[in-house]
Amino acid sequence: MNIVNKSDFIASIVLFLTGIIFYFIIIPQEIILEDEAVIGPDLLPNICIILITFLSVLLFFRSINKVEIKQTKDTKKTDNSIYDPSTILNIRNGFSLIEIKRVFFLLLTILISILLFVYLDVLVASFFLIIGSCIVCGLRKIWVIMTLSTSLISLAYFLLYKVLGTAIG
Amino acid sequence: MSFEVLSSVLTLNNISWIAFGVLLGYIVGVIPGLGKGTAVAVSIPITFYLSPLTGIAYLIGIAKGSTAGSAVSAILLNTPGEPSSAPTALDGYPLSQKGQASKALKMGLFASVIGDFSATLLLIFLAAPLAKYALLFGPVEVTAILLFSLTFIAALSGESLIKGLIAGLFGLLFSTVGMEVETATVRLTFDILELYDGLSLIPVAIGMLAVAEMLVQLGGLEALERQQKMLKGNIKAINQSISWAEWKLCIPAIIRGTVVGSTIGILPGLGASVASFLSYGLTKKAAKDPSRFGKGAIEGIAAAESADNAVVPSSLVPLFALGIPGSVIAAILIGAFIIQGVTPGPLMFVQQPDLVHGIYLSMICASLLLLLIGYFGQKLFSFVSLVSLRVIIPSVIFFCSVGAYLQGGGIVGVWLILFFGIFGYLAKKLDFSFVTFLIGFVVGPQFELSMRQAIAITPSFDDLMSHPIAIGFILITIIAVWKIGAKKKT
Repeated sequence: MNIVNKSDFIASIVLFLTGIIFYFIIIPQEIILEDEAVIGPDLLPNICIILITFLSVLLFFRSINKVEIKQTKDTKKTDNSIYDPSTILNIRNGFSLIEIKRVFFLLLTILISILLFVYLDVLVASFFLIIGSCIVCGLRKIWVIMTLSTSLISLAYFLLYKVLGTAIG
Repeated sequence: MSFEVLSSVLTLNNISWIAFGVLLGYIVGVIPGLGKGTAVAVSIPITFYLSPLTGIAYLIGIAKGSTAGSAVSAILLNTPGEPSSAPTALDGYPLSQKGQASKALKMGLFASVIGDFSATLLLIFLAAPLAKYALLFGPVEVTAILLFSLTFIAALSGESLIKGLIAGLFGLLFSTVGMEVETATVRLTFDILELYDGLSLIPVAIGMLAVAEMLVQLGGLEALERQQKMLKGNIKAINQSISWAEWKLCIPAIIRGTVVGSTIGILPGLGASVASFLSYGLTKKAAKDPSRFGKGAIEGIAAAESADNAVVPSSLVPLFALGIPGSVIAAILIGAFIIQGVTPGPLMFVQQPDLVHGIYLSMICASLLLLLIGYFGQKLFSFVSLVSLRVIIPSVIFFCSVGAYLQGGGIVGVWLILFFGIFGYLAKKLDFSFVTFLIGFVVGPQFELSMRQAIAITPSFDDLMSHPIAIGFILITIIAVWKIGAKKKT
């Protein structure tokens, strides 16, 4: 088996498994049919999942045996690279180790701040979210981090609580 | 347009919010990586506390400002604020290196305003007549049109038709979460009470657009900082003016760009990037000396920016006339309309004509404010592009969380932005179109309702034959998918 596009190959397997799990486990458990309706409430979810599963199979076969097509596509991509803004930024393709680390820690920061919000206090959660994100992004100057977090929280308080009159926290 | 409409639009409060929207949008547009989708999605919760007219006008102001602002970083940094400004960078950056950044920025702004203003007029004259026809459509026709829009958008977004369709189907699937209205059956809620009303568009949009984009940008911090260091020498001599000879070169390019942008904006799914590249390509082809392009031809900027900005108003034509979002901005605006208790679509012209006219007038005001704010604040905005993403990302993440908390059902909203942030990040990295996902998610409830009604009234194929418009759209869908699919394969 010749895997031409590794990310599509993995994505197709994940999507296929998701489709199977949804069709046989999640949809029957999560959509309980009360009576024999002609058009049941599970119609659209089932149609979506069947089509996703079918398309994941197509994606799987496209990712393993289209060597020539892939080469043509790559050539085309090189020709048009100047027109592709993601090429200019050079960030959208592929996963680098540093990016994965940063993404993981930023998500962890959001997760912990949610837990702090639920179990502790809104202010602590807000400070943790901003300071944690700053550290993940590589900011190290304490005065910048403290000024940023204080100003953002004050701005949110002023705009949402004082100007717009919402109930925050 | 009645006096009441004029007096409701031309209030200090309304104009201030539009101006604030344009200003905010312009600043966001200047910062690479923060697109108009991010800005509009994060700002939706604020509109809940404004009147329908002011809230929607404010969001449209952000979209317009952001589209124009993205040219600034394209010209100064060679890093477009949004993908659709990439052709602007092709000639804008060389001009900037020649010490003519001011001239390039001014032409970018003028072309943006002209394109945007003309497309707004097109929206005003086209949406109402189209809506009259749309009122004649029944559920069978609506289902066929939605099916066509979704598959067309899926086929055109991204590099793979299969991935586009999968993304659209996931959007439809997530739209089914919550209580089904006809049978009151609870679907896919995993016993989470807050999900019984369905997934709110705001946390989904914030997660998919803003959080996911910030996660993607985490990988490119160093590359952007290198560009920013190079920029520092380019922000000077901001007082150059455009000569008449240069205007003569640019006027045909602006007209061409406006026509291309307006046409492409009306078609669902094609988007601003296609418009700006096509307009740039056509202008280069029509030029006496095409070799100048890519080396600092000012008409290249005019062509790209006029088309880019014409897309925003014209992409609202299908939304206003048919209730179908053809772009991410239109999809998010549906959320804003619904928050305000307004259902976008043909009935809006009958039920709330004053609101529609108010939005039109506000859009014209936004165009004029864009010119003023852009012209007088250009030098200041140039410095905004130097702000580090290391500061921007924490700020955006914080406001995303606050917005999702306010409008996403409390802390569940923040959980949702986390989930859809990861989902959107993977979709962006693996080239599954998040545009198709969001549009599928937005049109999902309408699609399901009209599909159920269509199945009920056309149980057999013979019944379907009495709906020629629907058959026409189904055939176009099949042909479009077949042709585009075959083209993408090769």
